[in-house]
Amino acid sequence: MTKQYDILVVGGGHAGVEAAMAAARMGMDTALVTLPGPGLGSMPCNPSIGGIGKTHLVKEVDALGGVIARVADMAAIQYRVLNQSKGPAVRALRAQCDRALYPARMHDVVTSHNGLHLVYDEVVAIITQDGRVAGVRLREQGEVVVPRVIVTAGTFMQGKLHIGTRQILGGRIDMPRSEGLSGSLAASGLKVLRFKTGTPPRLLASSIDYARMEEQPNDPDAGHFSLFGPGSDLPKRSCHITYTNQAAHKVILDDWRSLPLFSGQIQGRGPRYCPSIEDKVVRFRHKDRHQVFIEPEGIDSPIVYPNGLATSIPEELQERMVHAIRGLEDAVITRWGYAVEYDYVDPTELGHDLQSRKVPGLYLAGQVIGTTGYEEAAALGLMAGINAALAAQGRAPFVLGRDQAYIGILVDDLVTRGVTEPYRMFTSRAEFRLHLRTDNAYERLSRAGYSVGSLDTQSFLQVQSRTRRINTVVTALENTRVKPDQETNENLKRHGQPALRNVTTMKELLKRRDFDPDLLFDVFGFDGLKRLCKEEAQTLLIRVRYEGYLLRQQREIERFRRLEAVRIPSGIDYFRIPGLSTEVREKLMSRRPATLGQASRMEGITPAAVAALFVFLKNPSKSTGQVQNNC
Amino acid sequence: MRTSTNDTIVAPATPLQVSAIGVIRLSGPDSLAILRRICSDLPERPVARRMYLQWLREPHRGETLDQAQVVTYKAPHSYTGEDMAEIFLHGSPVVVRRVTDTLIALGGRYARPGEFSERAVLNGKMDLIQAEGVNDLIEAVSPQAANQALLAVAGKISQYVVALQDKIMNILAELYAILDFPEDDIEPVDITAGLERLIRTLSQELERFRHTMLVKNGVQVVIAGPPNAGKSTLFNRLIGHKRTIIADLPGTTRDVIEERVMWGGIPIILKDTGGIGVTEDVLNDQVQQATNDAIRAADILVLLGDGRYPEDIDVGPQARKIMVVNKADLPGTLAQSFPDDAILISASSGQGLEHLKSRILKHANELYNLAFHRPPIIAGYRQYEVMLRVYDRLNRAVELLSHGEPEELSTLELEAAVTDIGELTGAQISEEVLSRIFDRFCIGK
Repeated sequence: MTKQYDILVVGGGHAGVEAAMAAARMGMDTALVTLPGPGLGSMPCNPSIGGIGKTHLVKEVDALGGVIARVADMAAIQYRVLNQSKGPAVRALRAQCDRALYPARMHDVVTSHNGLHLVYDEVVAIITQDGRVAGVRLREQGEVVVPRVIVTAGTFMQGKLHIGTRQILGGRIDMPRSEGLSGSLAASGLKVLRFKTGTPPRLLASSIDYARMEEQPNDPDAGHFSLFGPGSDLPKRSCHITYTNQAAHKVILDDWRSLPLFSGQIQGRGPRYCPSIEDKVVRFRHKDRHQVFIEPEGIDSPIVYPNGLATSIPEELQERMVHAIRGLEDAVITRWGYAVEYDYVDPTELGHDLQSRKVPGLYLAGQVIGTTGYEEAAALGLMAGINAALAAQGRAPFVLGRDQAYIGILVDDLVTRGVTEPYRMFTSRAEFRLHLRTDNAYERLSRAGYSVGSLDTQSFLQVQSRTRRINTVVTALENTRVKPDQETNENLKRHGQPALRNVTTMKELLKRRDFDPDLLFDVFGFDGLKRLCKEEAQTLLIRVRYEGYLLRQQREIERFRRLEAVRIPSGIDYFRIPGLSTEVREKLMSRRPATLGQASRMEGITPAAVAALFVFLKNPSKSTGQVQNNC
Repeated sequence: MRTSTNDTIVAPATPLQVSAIGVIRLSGPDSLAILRRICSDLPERPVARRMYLQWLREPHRGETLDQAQVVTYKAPHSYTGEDMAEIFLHGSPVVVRRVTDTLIALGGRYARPGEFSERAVLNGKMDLIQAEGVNDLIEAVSPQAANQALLAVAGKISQYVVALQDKIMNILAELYAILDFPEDDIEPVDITAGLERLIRTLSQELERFRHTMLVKNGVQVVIAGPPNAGKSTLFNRLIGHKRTIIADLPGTTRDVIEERVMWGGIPIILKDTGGIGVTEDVLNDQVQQATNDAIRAADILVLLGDGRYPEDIDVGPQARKIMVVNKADLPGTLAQSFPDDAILISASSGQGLEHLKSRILKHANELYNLAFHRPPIIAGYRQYEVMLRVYDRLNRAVELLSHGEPEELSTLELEAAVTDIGELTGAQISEEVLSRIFDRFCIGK
């Protein structure tokens, strides 16, 4: 079979669906090739979306027209706000989702889009011609001619599962692995490496004693993810918290050296911040307990996910460890926990458009380039899809800066610095945290999403009217003045507020520490805030209250951009630049950073090397003059 | 980091003046090759850092240039981190110039000012603070200034600020853990206490620097007092000549008059000020302002008057005060009562002046010894400004935390402090750092 598409996406996980949907939204004839089985965007790890740093990605994908936020809302069975007591920039929404409904809703969204063809098959090779992508070979359906391919193979490439000493070849439990694809990528010159991740045993809900655990119910005021979607209408469920103990730890510590993670059986590197329970117990022996979240897998699912117990220890030890935990004494294990080792491609092989530098037309996104998490995968998939479509249309790549979005940080970290463990987003990775908030994701990104064609017109208009509503109230706050008359001051005093001395604006009042925004209406009859919805009011309050800090951050962003604005010509000959070591030259030659800022963030590029590069860029003629002098 | 710079630079390292020895330096990949062209019997592989006595000859015409000691260095074990050579000639400007010209004709390039240090920085042999220290050392005009510069060259200053940066980053890591892992039970750490410890030591360093700078530029001795107390008469007496106009009228002195004197080897800036208090003078406000400024900056304040200290005088925290009662030769003066430590003088007759002078000198000596007992870690105003900024940021972080403001705001302050220090050492590249490299080394002009 030979079929012509504009873009073909390999893999139907969180990266794959965003990539395919973005390309299709941008008018590309797109094929999404996936293995038959768990469905689109399934959740092999815990059934939850969002969290610190990750919510930022979800909202940004939503602002750019992606689907993860909408589908997560459709499948949400619990919402919570994390860091509620902390500042607005690190607050995050997290949803528990129904593991069966999420892929079902995703399937509806994907199949209802015109121009997107769902193909159930396995891609076994990328076909190249004259050094660039020409098509793919499918296991069942043969060759497909397509000039742009986005690989989002997740953990499937050469996947190997570990349960105790038992090793199973597979992408996940009950799923075959992808054979051949990583070999094909390596043959094209890409650097293929190995990582490890893991999952806990699954438990039968009816066998758990919830009375012995702490309940964490749904927060009805938490809101939801998407600005555009229908929201959330499913009934809500609680999570429960329990803890491991010395008895459970003893099961692991008794003979920890023989466990696959420590015996040398597992070679791939796992994430430090999402470690397996044996890793936590062995590395932090002074801690006498670790937290375990019992997450429901669905509204009516008989299964729960004990988050915090990821493991690859033998079945018998899993059983003993679980039963040592409070509330899990009689828990029935329905599936064993396991570790998975898989091939990933070194992300420094990619440009900021997520395209391979060695094989034009080849894009990679998601866990296959060394990340972890549905949200990271979705963000990368979206960007790969947009960029492949832009390239097909002969338009410039869409690259977000570190000062514009967490997505920009994600891509920049991966392609300029690479990974040494599966990469997860944190708010501490953001230099301009206060500016990159979840509440202003739409103000930051939707215009760009609309102009590349990933966000539809109606959604963009929705964002614009939201922005306008907020701006109108800000203007009103600035223009409404109050006099320090006796009545006003008595009113303020009654609400525990210091009296006014001078004429002031509503906006200045709102900036006061511990000032209840409701007082604007209750005391002064200012109804501006009442005209906004809760999320809009939140955005406005942050804008007003943190104005000083935001302005300061804006100045820092401008400073950051100055170095980012020093472009390095693509054809630059690094061997002509004095003062660079051979090692630095080779690194710059292979990665070809586009700006001095990018170069400065590359590993192994010293400040001195950046200075030498800067000297050359500012005054290349003098450097050539030196060479002539030398002759 | 080993680097291969394309060209080899040459420059005399000593001034072109008649002297015993004149030194020329070469740095770059061809240093040895170029040197060999003028040295007839240098061994095939000269031992690095060993002196060889050589006759130097111009290779084309064969004329003898000088007999000299030559030494070579192998990259990266040299000042610049490149292959280097040094030639110790007889100190004739003619000889030094001829050998330099010959080396340039043989493929060397005349170095730009500061280029050797520039290469050392670019090759990672020293950071910006050390390079600045080299410059300060060369330009040092006193043993104290040289000691200060040597601290920088030895990397002591860099070590101090890098250690400070490290401590701030540890505190940041605690804050990040709180922000990024709200659900993990992280053992609580007293962040405020950690910050306050840093603030305390930093504030001592800043204080010490201020002190040193005050004294380094000269001990400021300010004569102040009510109008017509005889301040200008005393001033003229102390400097030994008639510098200011004296008249028996209140408000004769308007500007602050200053004169540099050297007493017992200590530089002293003596200042005469306008009288404190209201006069009929139309310029009174400006006179008072100038006087107040001078008093605030005083290291030693000589208060001329009735021996009492006026309450509304605003002196700096470092100031030492000397009470002086003038006109001791007038009968009415002695009838009053004075504090025990007041010095009685007569500025017009010169009575008691030696006593006053020795009291001033005693204070000046103490201040001077205090300042140079241990040189401050912070050297130079630029470093001072950066560290002061860091100090302010740490204080703001503490203030935000103690007001229960979100932790992310204190992280902003601490992150900015880390960046400030990084830019000071040059470890963190920014446009500011690059422009400092430009300023320092005359690159690209």
